Order: sequence, then structure tokens, then C-alpha cells
Amino acid sequence: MKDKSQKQFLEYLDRMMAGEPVTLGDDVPEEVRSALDQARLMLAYRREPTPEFRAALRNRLLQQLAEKPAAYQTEKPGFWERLDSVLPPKPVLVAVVSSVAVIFLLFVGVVLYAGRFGGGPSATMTAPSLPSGAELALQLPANIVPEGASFTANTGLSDAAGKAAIYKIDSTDITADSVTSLGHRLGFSGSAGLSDDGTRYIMTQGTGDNEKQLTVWIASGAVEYGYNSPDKLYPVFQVQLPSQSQAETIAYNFLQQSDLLPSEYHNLAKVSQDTTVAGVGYSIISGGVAATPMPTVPQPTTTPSPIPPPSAAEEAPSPQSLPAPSAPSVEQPATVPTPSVPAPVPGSTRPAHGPSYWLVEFPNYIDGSEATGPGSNIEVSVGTNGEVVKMAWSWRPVSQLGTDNIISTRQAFEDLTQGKGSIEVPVDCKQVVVDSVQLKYWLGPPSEEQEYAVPVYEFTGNCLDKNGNTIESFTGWTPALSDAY
Amino acid sequence: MNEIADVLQCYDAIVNREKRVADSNTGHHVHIGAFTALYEEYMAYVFRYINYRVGSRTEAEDLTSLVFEKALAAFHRYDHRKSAPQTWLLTIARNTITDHLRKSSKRKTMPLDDAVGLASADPSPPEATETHEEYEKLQTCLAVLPQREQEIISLKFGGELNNRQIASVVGLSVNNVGTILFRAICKLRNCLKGWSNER
Repeated sequence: MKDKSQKQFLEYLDRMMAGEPVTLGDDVPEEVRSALDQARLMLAYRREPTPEFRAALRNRLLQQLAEKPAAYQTEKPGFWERLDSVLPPKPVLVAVVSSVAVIFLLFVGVVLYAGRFGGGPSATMTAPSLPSGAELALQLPANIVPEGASFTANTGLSDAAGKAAIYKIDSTDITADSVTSLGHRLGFSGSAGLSDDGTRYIMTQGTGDNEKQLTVWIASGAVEYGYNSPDKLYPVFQVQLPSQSQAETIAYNFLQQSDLLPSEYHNLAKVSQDTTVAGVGYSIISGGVAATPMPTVPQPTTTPSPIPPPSAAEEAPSPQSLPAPSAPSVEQPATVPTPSVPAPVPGSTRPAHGPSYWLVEFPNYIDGSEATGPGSNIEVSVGTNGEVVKMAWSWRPVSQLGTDNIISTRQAFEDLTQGKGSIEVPVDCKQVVVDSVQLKYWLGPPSEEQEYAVPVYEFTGNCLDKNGNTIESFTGWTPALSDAY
Repeated sequence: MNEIADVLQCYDAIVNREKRVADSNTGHHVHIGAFTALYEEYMAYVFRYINYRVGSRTEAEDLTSLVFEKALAAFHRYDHRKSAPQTWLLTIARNTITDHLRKSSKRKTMPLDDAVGLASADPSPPEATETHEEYEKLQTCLAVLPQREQEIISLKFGGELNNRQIASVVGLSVNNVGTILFRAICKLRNCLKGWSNER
């Protein structure tokens, strides 16, 4: 119900913002009407810049351009600019120096050619093909830390800088046909249609609480699937969940049958080893108990019925083969809320103990490091009676471009303390305690096209209040490349 | 008159400079016309967004100036294929505000006096709804929202970004942006209602 109201509100709001006349029908609930009234108020109270300020700032900017033009050129002079400054002014000398330069370039070319086709790969060849620092720049989330908060590293930091691989994200060819084909594998009928200014394809199936939606983002190829009603994730009745290992198997089967299972996970034992299963719906803690790989493929008690048998993989994205991830981890239900999932619906009659669904996460490893960010993994939510009630699939295929220098963990920590990264902590946070620093690869929101996968340092830890009590945990990031700033 | 003369002088200097740089075949000169067009087209969005975030016209003007100075310095690196100009400018604005809030440790607790004092000079809000008191209430209710909700509300109504653009600026999914926006608007509504009931 809340979802429907939200959808209605957003649709009317878009029309209102576009200046279209908005007439609300009788079916519009009071909640939506009230929210739209508030939106009108927001627009009415918007304050415009005064003409005086507008003109004054324009003049000031133009003045700055006139007085300091050099400052607004490229920070580093280009090749021709540098050559221009090197060349002597006289025409004869110009000709001589140019000839020498041409001969030198020819010589370098011959040496490189010989190195490439005769003497094996040369380290000097990968560097020029890498994009510039600006092209590799990351768009990380906000950096919000209250003034006066101190930073403490509760983990070892190294002064050693190093190198890390840079990856190009391969473009995905998302078409109405490919999405329709995926939809059919997931039990949808009909054809996919474009939505939201042509940014995603959508298919829907069913009505009321049983309405499902499939979304595929054109920018990234990311897939979202699930019921529109939150009651499927947070039911108001006693849930009958499968065991954790059964949930893993159900998630595995679901992905395999829809041709969305990355090649790294084609072995179910690998799924047991690498996926993380967490009970969600009330509270969990990290248990860190390693799972025992299953020797055989157990069948789930209830398999997702609407999924047809697997079809040819012609429409499926093709994930890259990745190195073996590190230690396995399976989380046990416990007592710290997961930040990534919504809180339980207040007032529900669901029992106070036990999760309402299992969240099975398939991490994505790039160059042996786990990917991080809002578009970095696959999450399958297995609900009551073993039904897959939701899936968020984001798995960008990558190709290695080369390697680049990265800063040390100590430097990264200092960058974090100086606000050069991304971290958001509560206003009453007085001490940010970093418990771990890991090199990972940043993959942004599914709605965004991303050209490169570059390394970041991921910081995790806890925020303490003025009395030293833990308020909440945090995750923060800083760019890892040396020339990121 | 002096101001006009100053502007013309500036333009002459810039045009000459542009010609000079272009003649040197560097190909890296700042496109004055493009930057001016960017300024004229999007300055109001930046100002409105900042004003929602900080609540004070004076602060909003200072920060808007800072944003465009940063934009000017970085304009040669701007790639329109990667982000729309509005998104690019509002990303700079967002970072500038984050720095500002961190340095001043100010979470929009004091700008209401400023708003009261200067509202009469502001011609934008419709007369029917323009009251200092209501503006104060709105700013107060906005200020008590979590930072992320303030940010999304301001990008929506001040910056006039669509949800997809907001998602790219704040690093959330489009669905999350929609959810937070709806929730924040409902909170604002309840806050204002609560205020009315108290009176």
C-alpha cells in the first residue's frame, strides 16, 4: 500500500515539476494528496537569486577569467604546448630540432615495436594506454562527518604504496528482446517496455499483493526482480523459512534457471563456500562461522515454481572469470541490524524472533579483491516457503586495462580523516574507530553507466558517542589511485 | 554606467585572450561562451539548492559564488558526455556544502533570523503563500530531517533534478531516492501539521 502511494506520488510530482496540470482523481489516497500539497509548498517557497547578485557574480567570474586566464587552462601543458616552449624561435633551428625529434620518435617506435612482437610484453607499454586520472575519478557518496569527531585506527596501517589493476567495464547490450527473454525465464508474460525516459526496461506480472516487477537498467545491465508489496518481505504472519543451506540452494537454482548465475558460481559447493547468508527481518550479528561445503546438491523443500527450465544462454550477460576469493564466511542470525535492509514494519504480528527472509549474497571479486558499492553483487531474498521474493543482480563484466600506482593504507586513512573520501556518520558521533581497511573495487549504482572499475580503500568500524558507547557501524571509502586528487 | 563599462572591458579582455589562446593552437582554452551560457542557464538551480540546504540567503550567495569559482577552475575538465551540466554543477555544490557544514559545524540551526530579515527583498515566492512565519516553519522542519533527506529534498525542489540524476549525485539507487523523497515529504508535512496543532 505504501509502495503504491509512493509510486503515485512520484508520478504526480514529476508531472508537477514538469509544469503539467495535475488533477487528482478520487482514487488518490489522502496520504498522497497531503504529500503533493507539501510538494507545492516546497516549490512556492523556493527562493530565487536576486538580479543584483546574479549580475555581480557574473561580473566577478568574468573578471577572474580576464585577470588570471592561465589558471583556467589545463593544469598540465599538453605536448604541443611543451614542444612550443622547447623549440627555439629561429626557423632554421626549428627545422633542425624538429628533425631530431622526429628521428628520436622513430627510434622509440622501433624499439617499442621490437619489444612488443619480439621480446615479450614491455612494462612501458601498459602505462600510455591507461586513462587519465580525471577519467578514472570516482563519484563516491557524500562525506558527512560532524566537526570535532576524531579518527582512530584500530587496525594496522602500512606505509607501503603499491600497484593495482585498472579495469574497463564492458558495455552491455540491453534490448527489449533480451529483457523480454529474461522475463519469460522468470515467469513473466508479454513484452518489456521502456520506462523512466528510456533508462530502463520494465515488465510486470500479477495484481495486488502478488504483483511482480522486473527491471533491467540499460546503463549497467543490472536486474531487479521482486514483488512490489513489502508484505512479501515482511509478512504479517508466521513465516516458514527454509534452512540457511536450503536458502543458498534455492538462490542458486533461481539464478541458474534464469541464466543469471555467474560462471564463477556454477559449482554449488562454491556457492556454499563464498556466499553470505543472513537472516533479515528482525536482527542479526556477524557470526563468522565458516560453512561446510555441501558434497551433493540438496533439493530445496520448495522451489520457486514460476521459473521455466533453463534456456540457451544467448541473452545472459557473460561475467568474467575471477580468481578464487579468500576465506568463506556465513553469517548467523544475531543482534545487530543490517544497514542495507529496511526495518520491519511496525505493528506487524510477525513473531519477534527469527528472520522473515534469508538474504543470500553472491560477492563479486575483481583481481582477487571484493567489489564494493551499490552495484557490486547479487542479492537473492528467500522468503516464506522458500520463495524468491526479491533479487538485485548487478554484475558488470570487466576487462583489465593495465596497472596503476596506489597509495598506502596509512595515506588512505589520512585522506579519510581529511574529508577526501566518503563516509557518513551521525551528528552525535564523537569518535570514528576504523577496525579494518581493505582494497576493493568500486561499482556504482545500477542506474549509472560506469566506464572503469578502479580500486578504493574500504574502511569499516564503529562510531562512538561522547561516552565512548557505540552508536552504529559505518563503511567509508577513499580513492586508492595515487593521482586520484 | 561604470558597471557596464567594467563588464564590456572584461569581455574585451576575455575575447582577446580567447583569440590569443586559440591562435596558439593549444586547443585547451576555456570556452568563455560555453561557461557563460552554463552560468546563465543553471545558476538559479544551484542557488535554490544551496538555499534549501543552508536556509540563509547570505550564506547561499557566498556558497553559490564558491561553487561557480570551482566550476570555472574545473571547466576544462568537464565532459558533457559523462554528466549533464546541471548534475555536474550540483555535485560541486553538494561537495561545497558538505565542506561548509563540516567546517562551520552548523546544521541549519541559525539561518531563520536571516530568512526573516531578507524575505521581503525576495520576489520569488507567491504572495499568497509568502509569510515569514511559514517560511521559518518550513526551514525548521527541513533542518530537523536527516542530512540525506535534506539533500534529496533540496536536489529535487531546488536543483530540479529527476530521481535518476539525484541517484547519481548521492550514490543511491533510483528506487531508494524515490522512497527517501516520499518519506521526507511526509515527514515535512507531519512536522508542519504538528506545528499548526500546537498553536
